[in-house]
Formats: sequence, structure tokens, C-alpha cells
Amino acid sequence: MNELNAVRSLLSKAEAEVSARGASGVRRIFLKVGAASGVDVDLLQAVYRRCRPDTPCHGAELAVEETPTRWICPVCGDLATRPVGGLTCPVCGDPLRLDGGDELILECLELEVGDD
Amino acid sequence: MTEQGKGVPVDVHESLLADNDRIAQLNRDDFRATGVTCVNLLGAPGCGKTSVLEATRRHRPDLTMAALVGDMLTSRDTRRLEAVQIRAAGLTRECACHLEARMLRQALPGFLTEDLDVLFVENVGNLVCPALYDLGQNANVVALAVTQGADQPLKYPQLFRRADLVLLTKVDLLPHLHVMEVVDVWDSLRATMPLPRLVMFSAQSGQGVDDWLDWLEGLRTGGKASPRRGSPTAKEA
Repeated sequence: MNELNAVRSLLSKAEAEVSARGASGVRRIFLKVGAASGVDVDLLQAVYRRCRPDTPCHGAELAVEETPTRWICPVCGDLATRPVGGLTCPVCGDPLRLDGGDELILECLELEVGDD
Repeated sequence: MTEQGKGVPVDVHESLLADNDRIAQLNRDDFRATGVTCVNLLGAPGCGKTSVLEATRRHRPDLTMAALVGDMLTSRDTRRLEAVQIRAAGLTRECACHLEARMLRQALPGFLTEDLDVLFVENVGNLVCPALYDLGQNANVVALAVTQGADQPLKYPQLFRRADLVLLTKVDLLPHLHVMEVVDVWDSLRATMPLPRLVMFSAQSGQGVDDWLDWLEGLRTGGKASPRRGSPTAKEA
């Protein structure tokens, strides 16, 4: 269950940042999830909601930016999202190569810092 | 959310797999230090992963081999491997869909011996998650059975993208399959593998075993760089 691993890792990193910066909690989490990352975003959100109580993220929104699978043509360098019905370059017809879209990155945290 | 304090943005920009990758690097360092070649063998359930290892043993009785196996509920694969003198142990508990560097790390102390030549990791039969977790292996080998269809690389590009070699297994069945064309497998691999390499393989007839062993020997003798971390530079100054 990849989503559970992702959430555990996310909570652990958030907790470390909160502790290192003396914050009181997390307001928002910004995550980038590639379409080829093997993570289902709805399932990720559901797992996150189940896991966040009793953590510094208990009130934090999980904002997910979904990025498309990216393909590149090794011949003409054309970048393409996955074309429907085939994996050939729309420009020169050569086979496309997967160039990315499998990322699972914690981009940014918005920490709650006391105002005393 | 309470809004008493202020919100402070903190850039992290770290992969959620970074912890796994750090442990994978420790495994990789250990493999290098002990001179062990680690091959991560991936593929769907029933594609012939265990048979590949059995055939490897039959044709290279001189190699010292061990295998860590992602067999979810049984010890059948482990027993099959031990029957051909491959030291083997299961790595997973129930319901694991992939292996992680941490699991391998915990098992390594009993397996990394001075006399070991090749450590195979027979991964869980799943074409999505296992591809995402670096274990510290020297290479990823994907077993693809001819009965799975030529379009599997297009359906699971994240797996084939990281493959260093594809073994097209059970090729002795090809005469019976009227819709399976090897040329179509090549087309799918060219669209997904950075450097497409395919060996036609049959554990039953022995076809392609020599090609596979040649490739493995090249890997062992340093003919190939680590798959996940950049490509070898072709030119020396």
C-alpha cells in the first residue's frame, strides 16, 4: 500500500520541520504527485485523514498538485503528454520515451507559528 | 484550523521516497564493499521469475547465489530455490505490495557473505509499486511472459522505464500464440526503456539462457553502471 507509506513519510517530515522550527503545528501541506507515481490521490487523501489525528498535521489541509506523465521524443526533442492511442511522436512519428511524471514530492509546508 | 499565530511557508522539496533512497544507498555501498552483484528481478505473478533463477543455477553451478524473495503468503518459492542450492529467505509479511530498501537492509547481515557472487531479489509480483522503490540493486531485470501480451510495457511504463534488461519468458509457447508478435514487444520497449534490451528466454527449453548469463557476467565484471544513478560517461579525458 503505497499511499500509506507516502502519508507516513509525509507526517514524519512535517513533524521534523515543526520540531526543528519550534512551530506549533502545520496549516497546509503542498504535495506534487505525478500521474505515474503509483499513488491514487483520492486514496492518499483518505489515508491522510485517517492518519493525521494526534500529529502536528491534525488540522492541516493537504493540497495536491497532480502532474501529468511526460514523454519526450528522442529524435526531435518534442515534449508531449501521453497521446491517446499510441506512444509515437505527433511531430515525427518516432517512439516517445517516458520523461517524468512519477514524482512524489513534498514541496512546501505552511507552519503555524505562535504570535507571542 | 486555528488562525491565532501566523503561517510561515517552508520549502522542503524532498521526495517522499527520500528515506527509502538513503537506505538503498547504504545497501549499494555494502554490495560494492563485498563485491556482491545485486539483481532486482521484477514481473507479474506467474511470469516465471523463480524459474529464471532455477535455470540460472542449472547453467551456472559455479556461481554462489542467494535470493531474497517477496512471496506474500507462502514459502513455496523459497523452497524451490533451496532445492537447487540457492540460499533463500522470504522478505515480506502478508499483504505487502512491494519491497523496500529497509526490508532488504534488515535481511542483509545474514546474506552478504564473502563467497557470495550474486544476490537476487525476487520482488513481489506487481507491476506498479515495486518499480518505485530503489533497493540499492545493481540492475533491474523484468521478466515478461509471452502470454502477458506485447503491450505490457505501454501499460506499465514506470516499471519498464527502470529496466536494464527484459527477459521475454516462456518463448517456447510462441508457436501457440497467434496474436503475440515479438516485433510488437520491441516497439513497446522502444517507447518505454531508455536503452531497450531483450532476451528471448525459456527456462524449459534453455533458449536464451546463455544470452542472459552473458549479460549477467557483464554486470558482475563491471560492464555496466548502476541503473538508477546517472549513466556512465563514454569518454575519458
